[in-house]
This record gives sequence, C-alpha cells and structure tokens, in this order.
Amino acid sequence: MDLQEEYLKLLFGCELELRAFIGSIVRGSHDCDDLFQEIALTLWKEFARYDRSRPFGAWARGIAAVKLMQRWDQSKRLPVVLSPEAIQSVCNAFDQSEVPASRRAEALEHCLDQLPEKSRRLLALRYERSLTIEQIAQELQATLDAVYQSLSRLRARLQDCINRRLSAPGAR
Amino acid sequence: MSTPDRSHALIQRYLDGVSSEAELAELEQLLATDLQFASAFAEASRLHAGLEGYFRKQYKIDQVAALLAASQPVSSAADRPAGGRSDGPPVPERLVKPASPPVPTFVPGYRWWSNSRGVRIESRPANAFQRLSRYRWQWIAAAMLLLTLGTFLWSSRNQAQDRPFQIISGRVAVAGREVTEIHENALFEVVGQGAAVIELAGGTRVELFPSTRATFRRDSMRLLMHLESGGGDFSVQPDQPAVQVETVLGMVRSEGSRFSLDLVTVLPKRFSPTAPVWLPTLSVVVAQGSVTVEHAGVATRLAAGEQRVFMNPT
Repeated sequence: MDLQEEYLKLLFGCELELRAFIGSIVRGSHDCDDLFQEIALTLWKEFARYDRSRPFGAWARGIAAVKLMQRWDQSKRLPVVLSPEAIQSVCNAFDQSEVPASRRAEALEHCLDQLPEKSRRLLALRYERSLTIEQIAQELQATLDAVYQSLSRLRARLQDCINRRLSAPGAR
Repeated sequence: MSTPDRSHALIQRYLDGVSSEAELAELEQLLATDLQFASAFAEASRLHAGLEGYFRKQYKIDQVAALLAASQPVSSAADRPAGGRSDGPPVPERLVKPASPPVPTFVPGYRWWSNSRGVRIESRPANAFQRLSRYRWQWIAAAMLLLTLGTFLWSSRNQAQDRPFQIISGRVAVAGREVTEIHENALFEVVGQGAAVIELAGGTRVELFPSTRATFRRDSMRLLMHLESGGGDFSVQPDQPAVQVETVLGMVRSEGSRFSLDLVTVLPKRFSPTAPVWLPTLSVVVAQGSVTVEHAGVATRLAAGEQRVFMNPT
C-alpha cells in the first residue's frame, strides 16, 4: 500500500468523526466543508510525521484543533465559534469517547427506524432541508418553543438509544 | 431547571445556532471545567453530525441504489416497460398516456361581446352598420380594454423575462465568471464544493448540486430549466408556478411537489460499477406530490415515495 492509499484509507475511516468535531466548533455547513478540506490537505502534508502507534483519529483531531484555533477571532466568532480553551476541551472529550464510525452509524440508523413517522419528518425538516427552528415552526404552524422542545426531546431519546445500542452486550 | 437539564438545553441551543452570548460564555466555561459536560457535548455533536449526514445524503443513497438497480439486465416481461419496449429501465405501473391538452376554443373578443348582446355580426343584414353604430361607445370601450390588457400582459411578460434569478446561497458561474444572479438563456454552472440555492419566479427555490450545468429559458410564456448535467432538489408549493425541467432524456413537469433530479452524463472517476451502466441516466426521486416525466414518447407519473431511473434505449 503506498503512502497516499494508506492516508486516504485512514482519513475515510475517521471522516465522520472529524466532520463532527469540526462541525461542533464551526458555524455553517459551507464553512465546515471548506475547513474540512483545508484540514485534510494539512493532514496529508504532515502525514510523513504521523506516528503509527497513535490512533489516526486523535492525531487528525489534534492538527484540526490547532487549525481551528488559528482561525479563532474573538470579535466575530465566525466561522470558529468556540474559544481555543473550549476547542481543546472538546478535542479531549472526543478523544476519550471514540467509537468506530460504522458502529455509531449503524446504531443511529437502528434508532431512527424506531421513531414514529411524525418524528422522522420533524428531523428531516431540520437536517435534510436545513430549516431553522423558526422556519420549522412556520411550516408546522407551531410555536418556537414547541418545536424546540420536540427536537430536543427527540435528540435526547436518540442519544439514549444509541448509547444503549453501543453498550449492549454482544454489540459489535 | 436542574443542572443536567440546563446542560442539555445549553448544548442543544448551541448546536441549533440559537445561543445567546451569555449562553455561549456559560457553555465555554462548562466545557473547560466539567469533563462530563464536555463528554455530553461531544456525544451531542456526533449525533448532530450523524443526523445531518444521514438525512442530507439519504436521497443520494436512493439514487445510487436506483442506478444500480437499473443497471441489472431486464429479464422478465413484467420488468419491461408497457408498450413492449425492452430497452430502458422499468416503468411504473401507473403509466399514463400523455393526456391531450384541451383544445382551447378561441372566441374572438368582438364575437363574444356581440353574442352576449345578441348582435349577430356574421349574418349581418344590410343595415347592420346603422345598428352597430348604436354600440359604438361600447366598441371603443372594449377595444381600449383589450388594448390595455394586451399592453399589461406584454409588459408583465417582459418584466418577468428581464427579472434575473437570485442566487440565495452557493457559488454560480456564467462563462467562467462568478455571478450573483442568473439571466435567462445564460448557461450557468454551480461551482465550488457546495450546492447553490436559486430562487425562481413565485418564490420556488431549487437547490442545485455542485457542478450542475443548466440554463433557464422561456417556452412561450412558461419558464423552464434546461438541465445539461447534474441535478438538485426542487420544492414547488401548490400555489407556485409549475416547474418544468428539460433534459436530454425528456421533460420533467411538476406542480406542488418535492422531488430530486440527477442527470448523470459522465461517471465519477472513482466509481467502478460491477455491472454495465448506460449513460446518460436521469434519476427522479419524488418526496412529496407527484411528478410527470415524458421520456421516449411515454409519460410516466411518479408519486411520492417513488423513484425511477430513465435512460436511452441501447
């Protein structure tokens, strides 16, 4: 396996985690995509120095964290919203609870399948059509608070379901 | 509010992009000092990203599945499209012949006006002119009304034609130069990595995939989009004008629906199909309402939840 092939294999393996990490710190999906590409390029440039005894995901997040800290602008908070201290804490938290992305994706799909159609429709409005809470409230003719509470409860329920699925005995 | 509830609310509000400055400061403080909170934040962020990935890529998965399904050889008569055609992908049962549009019964204005008043112009008697002269003011008024109406229609059509289409988000280029609005008959391309959202007349918005190439043009009074390659998500409200998309594989018409189109003319470099794939292919996925696709002389109506891949006979 040549170097480029090895790099791509490792990057694709942790792409979801890396995107989740960047997305938790950066506002706006376009900015997330741009920063992900920028970081992927930096990772490739640094790949010769990657210590293979360390998990690739943690190494990649470390470099991504530095990149994001460099983009931090306290006055604007855009596109990087969190302060460097907070970024470091998030990076550590991601490192401590890493689960293979494929298992997490499988658990999410399983838990989504358990939801009633109405709940899936609400999630689709938020995540497929990228509507804001306000736009969803308008579309459903509901109050902002009702939409916010429904989404919040749904995500808590999904999170519980995923955690149970990942920690269940016999889970892959 | 108890601490776990407060923590959950802070994280959710942050991920929904509605945190106030004070809430943001509180969140940062908790991230830096509370390991459990930081861990909950990381989990919630993973879920948020997972949901985004799942829902925004779902239609893509459907389209690839449809493309692969269509690349299987057509083996049984049941799979063949109606009309005995053995080429192309299966056509849904709800195959409908294109209904002939009702032939408009054109009644010239003066005849309608005169008939409604019992004035028989066609079989005009010798003294018709004298009788007609009694109505001369009504004639003048009718003529002026028609003239005004005609002028209004002409000017509103021109105004509509002159009005460019607004690019709400994303990057679009015309002739290699990035633009902020698109004019009719200009071939444009979505550039960059992200999709571009364009607002059409009446407020209909289309989200076009990266690298999509298309032109907006007018077919008599109707606006249509000529799609060269690529595709996008179309959301047409029932009270908005119908959307027509013209492609090399046929015409897609929709009123009050949500659907996705993907016209594949070249396979991606990394895509190595295990079975033969015919190009170009047009994938149509209907999420809401219905869409009619006219392909190879046959109109196929797809209802919500249906998807179909169209391709030319081999």
